[in-house]
Amino acid sequence: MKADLELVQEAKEGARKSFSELVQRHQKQMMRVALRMVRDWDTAEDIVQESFIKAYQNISDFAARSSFKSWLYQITINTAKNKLRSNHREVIGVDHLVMGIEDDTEKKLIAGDLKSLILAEVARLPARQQMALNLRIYEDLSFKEIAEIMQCPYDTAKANYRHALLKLKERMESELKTVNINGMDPVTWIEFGSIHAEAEG
Amino acid sequence: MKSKNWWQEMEKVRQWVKSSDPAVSLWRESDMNSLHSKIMDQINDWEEKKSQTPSRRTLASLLKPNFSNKRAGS
Repeated sequence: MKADLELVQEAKEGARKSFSELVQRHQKQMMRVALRMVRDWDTAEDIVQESFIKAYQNISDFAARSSFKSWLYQITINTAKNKLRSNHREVIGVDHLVMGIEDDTEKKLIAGDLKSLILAEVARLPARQQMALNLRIYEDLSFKEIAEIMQCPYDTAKANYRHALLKLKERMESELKTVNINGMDPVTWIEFGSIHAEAEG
Repeated sequence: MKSKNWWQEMEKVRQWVKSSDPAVSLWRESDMNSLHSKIMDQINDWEEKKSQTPSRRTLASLLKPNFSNKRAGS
């Protein structure tokens, strides 16, 4: 299998087939990240199409200072932010971008929907913490890749992720303490099997 | 150095978040096949349009005045 950079080089020389392979390779990841931001399949699909076309049209500008995947994530995230702006969602500047989510957390929790509560809490995090958290947890990216995508130093990417986790922990604990779900211990709602300490890095 | 307990707590939060991935419930695997075609169709259209549009240089040469039509001695 050819490396991304090899395919990029071929695409720069005009090989559409090579770019097609890059699309095949990365479209799922880009769809997932767009879907998390806009929470609508058709909009996410538009964003991913637009992002790949932008990438193709500007491939000669890709200087391989980061990986092709990181560059693609950058394009997709920026395209999604622009889409959210143009859709007049709840956006107060890029650094305060809030991903679309309903705010009826208590109702959802009473209904037993813990996932919705977690999502609501994630949505309340500052945009950069949210982004670091999403890329680390859902996309399983390294802090080096996250730093490239967020265009910030490595330590900042790591700090954003850790602050996000800490804030979530505090908020979830306080939410779960105040809401008693049908008399059940809330902790029983958040058992996800064995716990392993996360390795540094 | 952070305690083992601290890492366990953080891992617990990580697992909460991971388990609530909104992309999972919204995912439509069957639609992924058509996405690739849509992207490549648009790229092919763009390339076709680009090849039909005269480049700036070509356009400039087309718009350049034809000096051979100048009157002699003018």
